[in-house]
Amino acid sequence: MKYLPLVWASIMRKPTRAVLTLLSVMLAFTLFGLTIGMNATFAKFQEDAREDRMFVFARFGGLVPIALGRQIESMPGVEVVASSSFVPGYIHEPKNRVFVQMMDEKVAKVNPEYPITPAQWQLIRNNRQGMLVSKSQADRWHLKAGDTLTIASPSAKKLDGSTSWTFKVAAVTPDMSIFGQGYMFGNYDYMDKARLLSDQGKTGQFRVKVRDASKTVEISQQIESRFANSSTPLQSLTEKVAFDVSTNTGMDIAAVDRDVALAGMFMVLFLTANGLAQAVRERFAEFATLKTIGFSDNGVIALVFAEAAIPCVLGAALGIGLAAIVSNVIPRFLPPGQGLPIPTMSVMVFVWAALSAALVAFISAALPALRLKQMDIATALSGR
Amino acid sequence: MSPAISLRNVIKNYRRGKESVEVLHGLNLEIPVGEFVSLMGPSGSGKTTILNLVGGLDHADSGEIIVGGEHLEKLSGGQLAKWRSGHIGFIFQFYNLMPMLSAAGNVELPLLLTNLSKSERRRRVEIALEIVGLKDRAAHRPGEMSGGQQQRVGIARAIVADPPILLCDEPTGDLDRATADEILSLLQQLNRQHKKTIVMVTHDPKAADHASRQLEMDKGKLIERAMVAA
Repeated sequence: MKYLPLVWASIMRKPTRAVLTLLSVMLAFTLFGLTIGMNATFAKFQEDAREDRMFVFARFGGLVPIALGRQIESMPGVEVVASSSFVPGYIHEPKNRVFVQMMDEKVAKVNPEYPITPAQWQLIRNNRQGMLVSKSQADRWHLKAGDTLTIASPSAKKLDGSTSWTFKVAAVTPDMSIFGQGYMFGNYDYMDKARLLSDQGKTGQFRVKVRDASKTVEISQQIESRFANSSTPLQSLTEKVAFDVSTNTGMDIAAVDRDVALAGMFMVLFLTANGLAQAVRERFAEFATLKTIGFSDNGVIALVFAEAAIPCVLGAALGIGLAAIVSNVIPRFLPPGQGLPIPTMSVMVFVWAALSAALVAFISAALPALRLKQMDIATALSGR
Repeated sequence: MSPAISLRNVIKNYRRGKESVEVLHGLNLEIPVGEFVSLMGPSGSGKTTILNLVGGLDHADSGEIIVGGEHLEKLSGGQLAKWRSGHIGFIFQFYNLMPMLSAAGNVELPLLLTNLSKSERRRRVEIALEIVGLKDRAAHRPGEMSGGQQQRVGIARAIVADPPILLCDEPTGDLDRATADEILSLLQQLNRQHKKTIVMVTHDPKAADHASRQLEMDKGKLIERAMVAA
């Protein structure tokens, strides 16, 4: 600690350079935190995804007749099939986007892990316009049980020609990590009966739960085969695959995230290494003076490492802090219930950031430190 | 009583490109404890080389260098650094202060290498600054002080750890006559009142006159100069 004023004074010798370096490190670590945090989210999705569930939807897009769900449910090994669709829209202004998932009564059986009690599910069964709103969404839109909420949905036209969907908040329910922006669950029957006749009796997708998780892929193939030549060919996706963002998007997004984070680290490495090398070069005679008055090689090298470590660690801490704030703010701008991934600031993200900051500091300081170790004091003092 | 500094048959060569230049040719020198020695001579005659060897900043090619009873040629780099911190105070021509530290911060630097408490370090810094007459400038940075004041800070830094030997390389080379005389008087005071052994390299005969013994380097050899009353 007694060396801290010396190290700090060295860093702040050129305040502009110090502040710009700190800002650069901070921004690089913000990017690092968001990308690695995103990977943590993907990993969590994968971890939470169950082997015994799958999504089934129209292979070539569009809606699927509800009747097909009953056929799927009668297939051997299938435990239950739920229907779900959605009403996308906004509250008052288009910028206030929301996304209401319309669930039938079987969703509770397919997704028993949802933190919704049977009594709460029953509330939206009893009232067709009933809606379950997660706490974060209730806070955001200042909703409480009993409130009425009208959503404008230009893409979900109703039978009466209007595009306004009115819901009654039946209960405020706990948030869940899979819906980082919160969720709104409505009654599928309300949507089905209110929309255009041509769309009635149809759903966006089925959620299928099988009895034996080891048979999920086999059953998935059976479903696809069975409806391959029907008027609505179906496609199925196991939950594990559906939540594997890399498989879904056709590219290894986790690797892309890592590459982006790595690029940021390299950028900050070059910046700090160059800045430190310049700082040491400018103060070579001063380091020679320190050695003259008794600082050992290791002592001087430790000062240089500390000089590199302080902006790196401080910048990393600020950057990860900013990433945490940003990841908390992101959900405000995303419609709820879609399961859009937002970065998770897990402990591992902080650990990786700390390790990366230490590594950047170490590599940045390595060459200047080596130069100082090899310094000939007499020559350096003479300014040659 | 053994001498403070003893150089025996010291040979030192420098390489300049492919050429080897012998700067010291079997040099012998003894400086008793408490002596104030000035070392004069033309540029390149080896004056600073002697200071560097005595200060453990450079190694001789052969010969013995015994300072404060320690054979420096037998010490490793790390051991020399530790030894320097306790035995030698360096005073430079261009002060070599850390511009970002206050006068007190600069003076405190050698004490950072000790196990002294913060309060004890502060106390010693105050004493050192008081000796050089700069107690009221403790918070000032080098850039806010005159050359003479900066050199006083340099002297305070050199004496704060109470080393028995001070090595001064052209301590007044960058100062005007009046300021130089003040600095030289201060060095005399340190020699007489605080019993410091001082070796001062200088080009200035008037500066050399402040020493109790004057030596002149000529082609790698030392010549004793006749003393003029200081």
